[in-house]
Amino acid sequence: MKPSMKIFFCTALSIMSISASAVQPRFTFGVQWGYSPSVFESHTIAYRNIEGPHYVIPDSGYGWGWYSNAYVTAHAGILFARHSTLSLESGYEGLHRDIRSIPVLLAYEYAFNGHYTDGAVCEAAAGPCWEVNGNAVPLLDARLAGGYRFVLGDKMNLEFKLSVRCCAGSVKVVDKATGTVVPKDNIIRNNSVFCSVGIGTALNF
Amino acid sequence: MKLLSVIPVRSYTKNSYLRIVYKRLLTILLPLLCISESISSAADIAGGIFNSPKGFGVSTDVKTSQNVLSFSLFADMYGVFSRKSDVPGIRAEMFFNREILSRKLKYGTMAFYAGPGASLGYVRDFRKDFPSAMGAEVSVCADTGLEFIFREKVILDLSIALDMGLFITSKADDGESPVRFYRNGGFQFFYPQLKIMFPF
Repeated sequence: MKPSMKIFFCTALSIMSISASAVQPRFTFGVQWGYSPSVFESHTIAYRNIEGPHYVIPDSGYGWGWYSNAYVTAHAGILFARHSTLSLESGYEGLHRDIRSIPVLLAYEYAFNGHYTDGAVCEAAAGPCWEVNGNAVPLLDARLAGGYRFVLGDKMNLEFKLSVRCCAGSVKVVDKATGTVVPKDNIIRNNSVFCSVGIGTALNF
Repeated sequence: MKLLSVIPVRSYTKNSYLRIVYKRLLTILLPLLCISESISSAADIAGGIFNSPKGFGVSTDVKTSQNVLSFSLFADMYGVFSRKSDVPGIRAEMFFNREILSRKLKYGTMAFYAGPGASLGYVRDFRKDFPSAMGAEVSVCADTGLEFIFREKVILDLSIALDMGLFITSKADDGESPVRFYRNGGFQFFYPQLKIMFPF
């Protein structure tokens, strides 16, 4: 059997198994907020200097640090199976020092004891993330989270989560000598990676 | 109160110095005695986290038969979220709230409350372009909000608070007085405060 056929059959079987265990799908929405300090940063940057002599300035490095950031996001999605929720979330989140972002993530959440019982939850989310006042090309954003859910009512629950987030792509380049933003045409290489840890709360309805 | 009545007040009346000391002691001890009396007869104690655009911290509620003694300690984030300041301030708030209205819900109870209080902190105050230098804040406050108790195990408390007081700083900005009205107490009146607490 061809690999493409194998993938197709695996996907079909997954969908069928999900359908078999499906409950009545329900729309859900909520907000989440928390503290997400940036702990790691790596960058590989090279740009042409236009102010002085025309030479290329390389700038690369990586390091661990602690820059306080916070996040607040809203999400809406569907409870499509007994344990699973698929949602789209967006909001405002600090990425690193003086870098803020607007992520748009597709998130999958698994509740170990089901949606209507207290218990542990885990979540994986990924999607594009735009830097505020930055490039039009988004960064790639991915997040893993785990926590505990308290069911408050029929359609309401509260979650406490710990998360790890990684973001990779291009952010605006600032010339260290002049403090000005380097124009896009003068940038030769621009790759950055940011990692942060988070502790937060989510309220779902 | 019984303890206080045992102290022989009249024996000190001839000595003015002792009388002044006694009066001052009474002024300090009386509120503390009232608080300790409230706590000792407390029915429920709950603790949790304080979330607000004002800042983040911890909060605790002590319920008596009539009042709720609410205490919050949080990092004042004024200027930090807007990256105009790197260092948050610190504030402590205490309220004596009284339940005004209570309703039973399907999964718990809901109560509307209000009450007076006081706050103390070392914070930055509002200025038009840039936050002020750090200074002390002393205010009297008014608090009102809604408390939801879900299945007697999770408490969500949504409230707003008005602070009216003084801001005292040793590094007064140009054209500003070192002692003045605490502006953020009024400007942050509509900032919602969400407390998530669990009964002990």
